[in-house]
Amino acid sequence: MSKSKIPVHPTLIEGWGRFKSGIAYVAHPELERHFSEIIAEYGSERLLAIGNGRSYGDACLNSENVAVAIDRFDHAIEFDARKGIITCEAGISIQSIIETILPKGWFLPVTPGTKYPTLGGCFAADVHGKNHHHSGAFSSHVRWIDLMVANGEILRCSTRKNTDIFRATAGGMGLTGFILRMSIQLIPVESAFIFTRQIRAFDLESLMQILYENDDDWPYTVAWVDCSGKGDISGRGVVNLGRHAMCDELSVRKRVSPFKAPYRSSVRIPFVAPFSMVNRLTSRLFNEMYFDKEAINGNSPKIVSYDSYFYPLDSIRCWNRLYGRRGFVQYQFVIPFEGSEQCLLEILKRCSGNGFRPTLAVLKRLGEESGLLSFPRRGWTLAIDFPYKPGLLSFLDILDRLILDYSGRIYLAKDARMKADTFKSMYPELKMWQEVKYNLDPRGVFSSDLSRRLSIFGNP
Amino acid sequence: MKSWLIFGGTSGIAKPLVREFADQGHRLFLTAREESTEELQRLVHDIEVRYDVEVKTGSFDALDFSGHSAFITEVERDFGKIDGVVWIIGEMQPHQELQSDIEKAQRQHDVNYTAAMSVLSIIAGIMEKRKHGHIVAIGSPAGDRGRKSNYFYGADKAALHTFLEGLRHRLSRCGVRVLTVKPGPTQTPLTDGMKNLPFIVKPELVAKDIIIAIEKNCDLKYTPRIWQFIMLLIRHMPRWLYKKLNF
Repeated sequence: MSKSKIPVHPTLIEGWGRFKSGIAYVAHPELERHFSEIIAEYGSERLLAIGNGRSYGDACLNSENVAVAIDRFDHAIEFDARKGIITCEAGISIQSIIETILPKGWFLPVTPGTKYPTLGGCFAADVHGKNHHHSGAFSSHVRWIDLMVANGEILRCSTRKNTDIFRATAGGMGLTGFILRMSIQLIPVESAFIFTRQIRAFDLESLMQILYENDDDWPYTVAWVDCSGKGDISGRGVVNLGRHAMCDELSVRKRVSPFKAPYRSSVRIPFVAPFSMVNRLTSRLFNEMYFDKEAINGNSPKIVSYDSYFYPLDSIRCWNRLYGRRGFVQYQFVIPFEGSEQCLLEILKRCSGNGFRPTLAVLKRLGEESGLLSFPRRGWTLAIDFPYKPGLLSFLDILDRLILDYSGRIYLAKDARMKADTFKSMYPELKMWQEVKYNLDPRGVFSSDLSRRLSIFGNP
Repeated sequence: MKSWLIFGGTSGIAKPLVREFADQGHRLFLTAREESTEELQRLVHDIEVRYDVEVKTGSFDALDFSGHSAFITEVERDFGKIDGVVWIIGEMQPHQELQSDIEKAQRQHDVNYTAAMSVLSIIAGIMEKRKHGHIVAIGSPAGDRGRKSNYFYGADKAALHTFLEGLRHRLSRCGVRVLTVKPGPTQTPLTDGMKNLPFIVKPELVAKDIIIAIEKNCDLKYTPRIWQFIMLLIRHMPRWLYKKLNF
């Protein structure tokens, strides 16, 4: 069974938005030495580590080149139950890590809106959660990473050692090397439940006001915005506030085993819909129902399991198939607080005045910056889902210019269509990143469809 | 809590299966070849971090037939009485090579069948006396009918199937359960690089199915379930038609 050569086989890989796809030669390394063998064997081509393919655009694609799937590199290595520090391999998923640490009274300090990404992917995209204004991005809680660079060497990088490489890898979209292992500082929790409160707002100003006012009191804040309507109702929404529930807040029955979240069933969309199930009518209906649901529930706080709080969409597996064959494009940007209200209103107006009605929009306040190419910076972020339609891309190019005018930027993990020069003007620390990249990997071995589209490496 | 002895602890199916067993709180003894000890240790750390169970390991050479009996005695002495055994050891050499290299084919047969026959016979003897135990072995739908592109592997698994059938017949009177699992193509190192495998599944799914089959005291389990229906058709296909198929 011992094979000297690591086999690769051509596989169709899709971004989560299913708008971009490509065939890559996929390898499944299991041992550390397999990674260096892959570099030795396929290093003349282009390599990219891929996790569970949860980035929306082409960040996880390496068409016609070698994609290194890290799904079998998923072992937990060490857990310090006293200090709450877990060390593990990068292929482990958010779900799997939570199932490991939660019964011991710990939780991930930052989690994205889905439980399926790998930790390696989370670090590479430097993901943020509902608590970014409070806790920062994922990489701020990573104590160190082991990075295998282009010459096969493994570097331990942290905020103290190999600092520049650490900062280039956080948010570096996997372009600095293979992230093999990491050590994360966890946060203590008393239960598997979240204490949450919903507040309705009838226009964008009051929605933003509510988010602003609750920043200090709630670690998790996010707002769902209804963009599917016209005129008055466009911009209304529901603010969702949350914090980890204390043990004595739970009902007596839950208190018996506070770390046991109830089983949550899920359905799976079995095939790609022939045309988009998400259209003006269904999204109108969904948004209307969502807004009214909160009216029925009222403002009273609730206690819900972490699973349904953080990962609402994970209960429909492969939900991206609902968007039909053409897929969808998620557009997420951040703009600094100054003058932001005007910009957001302008964008909402353009969306509703146009044929490109978004289905879902999520608004949130972000805190401090982290890696060199990390998306988050202080400001408002809005994530909008657009079903793909001809003409959408040029519409988004117009939005790009608007966001550039307000010195905002677009999230690489979501992006599938930005222009290279737009990207350059949005990420001021790109020059520094390019220097680090050039020193580590002058031949540009680690690359992706994204890096080629945006010519991230530049011309040193 | 039961004590399970798992042969082939570093195989693709073993990893999720071992995690499932550990999740249920069972004690585990994992074996691997001498050269895979390091890899096995990695899985042990993983289990120890994730679950609060006892895991022991030992290196085991499937082809050292004369050492099998001593190995099992030693495991029982170190680890205590075994409640269940899972046999996952198996290999699949490129079929084209086996057609001309009979020695290689024989070696594969020894790994896939003879070793299982030897070990499970010893285990069966022990369990028969105790009137208690569970034997689980991984077969394959490939063993249900010979196929031109894979009949060496298929024949090995067919032999294993028949052997287990007999063992089940013998042990059914004394409360020892024998389970044959027949997984379809699974995303493991065994199938890496093979093209166009139908209904390929993740090993996690196979592991879950095995656990359910053990709990339900099944005799034979196809996983995923669709293979039960596919193989039903293929097994009953008339030979004149089967010969014309190209697969």
